[in-house]
Amino acid sequence: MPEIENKLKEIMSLVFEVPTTEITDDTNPDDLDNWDSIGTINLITALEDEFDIEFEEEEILEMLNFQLIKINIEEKLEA
Amino acid sequence: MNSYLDLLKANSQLKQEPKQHSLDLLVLNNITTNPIREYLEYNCALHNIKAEISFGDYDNIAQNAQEFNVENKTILIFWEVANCLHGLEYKIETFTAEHLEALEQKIQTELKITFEALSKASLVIMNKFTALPFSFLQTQNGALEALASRLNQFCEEQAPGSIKWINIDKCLVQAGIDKTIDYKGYLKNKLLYKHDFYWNYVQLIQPYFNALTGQVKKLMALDCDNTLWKGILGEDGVDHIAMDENNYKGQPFAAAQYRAMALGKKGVLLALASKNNAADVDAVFEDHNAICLKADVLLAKKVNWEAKGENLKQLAKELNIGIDSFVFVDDSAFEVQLMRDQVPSIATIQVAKNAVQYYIEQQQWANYFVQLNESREDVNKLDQYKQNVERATAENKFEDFESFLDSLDLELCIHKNDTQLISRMAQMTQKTNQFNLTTPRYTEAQMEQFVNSKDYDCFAFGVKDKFGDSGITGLCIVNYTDQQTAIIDTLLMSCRILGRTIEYKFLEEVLLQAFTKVEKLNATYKVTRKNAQVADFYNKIGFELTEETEAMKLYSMNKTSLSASNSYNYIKVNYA
Repeated sequence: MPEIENKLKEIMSLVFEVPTTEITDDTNPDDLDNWDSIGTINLITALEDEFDIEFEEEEILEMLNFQLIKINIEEKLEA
Repeated sequence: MNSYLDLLKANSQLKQEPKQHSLDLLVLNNITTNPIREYLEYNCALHNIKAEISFGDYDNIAQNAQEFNVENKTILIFWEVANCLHGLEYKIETFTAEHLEALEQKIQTELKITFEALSKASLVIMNKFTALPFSFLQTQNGALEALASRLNQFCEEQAPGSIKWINIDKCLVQAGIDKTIDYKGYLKNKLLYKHDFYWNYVQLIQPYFNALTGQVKKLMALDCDNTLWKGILGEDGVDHIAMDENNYKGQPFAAAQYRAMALGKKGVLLALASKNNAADVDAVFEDHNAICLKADVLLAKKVNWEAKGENLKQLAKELNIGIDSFVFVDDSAFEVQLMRDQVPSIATIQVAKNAVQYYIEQQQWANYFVQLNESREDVNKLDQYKQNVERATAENKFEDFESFLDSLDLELCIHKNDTQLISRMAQMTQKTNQFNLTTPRYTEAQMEQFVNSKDYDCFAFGVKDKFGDSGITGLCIVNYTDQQTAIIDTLLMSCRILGRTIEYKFLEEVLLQAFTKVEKLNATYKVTRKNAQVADFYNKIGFELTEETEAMKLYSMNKTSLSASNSYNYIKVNYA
């Protein structure tokens, strides 16, 4: 679902203040200065706003890179 | 702005644009408040302020206050009573009296340390303690509410008067608990607040940021029809316009008149901006039995058929104040839009179509005029502006300007390092834009340091003439940088006293004083968008230009080149 991928890129670029081109499938917290614990909270808030979904604590712990977040959102939206 | 994500989107655009002002903000908290960054950045950007925001550590307010360099910073404090201890909101009722007492002592000590440590900050904004999110379903007041109210009492007694207190219950009330409090976030990450809370909170505190950056409004220009009264005077006739507070139709408009008068009482200048026949409007103010707003509290009545924007520009010129200090209130969407297009620097308020809504929204009027410290001078301002008009009339009678000045019985009263005037001096640095050579904005705390330091002399002055007393209206701060040299750090005066050569006489006195201590005096003119009128001031006084760039001019003067002129003998000088 390229639509989700694009939206997710856009949101991560807004939250972490980097251009969308810097975000790839492998992008993870080590790659981006602003992706710390607070950054994660901000990202979750923005994703919950955009997709009208809710994340559980355990899921957030597993969202270790772009790819994993995308898959998690896709699963939620398909369910 | 419906969500955090919307805000992120809007902010990413706004961030790029250059801003005229900047603010250094530090948020201290005992809960997680980091999302507030975007809200602060956004709202400040809307008001032409670039906000640099940093955060203290989680739950480490007192220590951070001591360790961080808070000088020239604006501090926001989120001190949640419920999180003074993990789970306090449900544990507190089980505590023994001794336990509670010990906890309260600890919080009080931390508060004291914090207040002390923050005395050098430009501005401290702190929330009143509240238990509302944890008690609003409970019939009887509980121990957490009692603790919050005792802590508020403590702060009222112990905190410096300069701290601005925000009642955050107002943020909860505006959007409701559901939209403001994030219980899930609180339990998961100590993230207590939601989008609507932050949104409302930054609206509440913005007036203080505006004041801090010298963006306080000074004049409110009101339309008449459907703004001060219900109905259209020219169409409905004088007998069919409504402003009687004893009936439902008129009351919101009577309220508007009282709200305007209340602002006038605080020193806000009031004017009419109405498309009407002047005589018709005059008749309403003279004869209408329900009118509460009296003509004598109005500084000017721009009642005619010309464009309102032109009328207000002309008024700004007459009063010698910036048009960006005007607020314009009108019910017509067309007039409001036209004003925004033609004079974008004027703040506009569109009167709500629904009169009840109008009545509610009037609460916000005062926000445009919030000052960091209010002083006596404000209250007398209307008289002084009226005196200006009288003086202008008197001026016409004299052929020769000097004999006119002589006839005024001018008296310059200089206050040197007067601790009584700290608040007024700080306020002048914050509000004066046009006759201001360097435009630094100082807080009371900073001004207090200058007054008490031997490296600084603060000269404030007032002017009297036979028409009245201006109050304290000018300031010069001299900084003695070494044994031989001093620099004029600040030189400013209110534009309403200009035109009587007072500015020259005052600086001459300051120079005489400064040259008793040093041999050489440096001065600077820093260009701002508003102070072009003083670009040549130091030239005129006899300073020598030493360096010039686009942004500033540097001057100096040696003691030997100062010659006391006798040109201003018609001004009597007193030292208070």
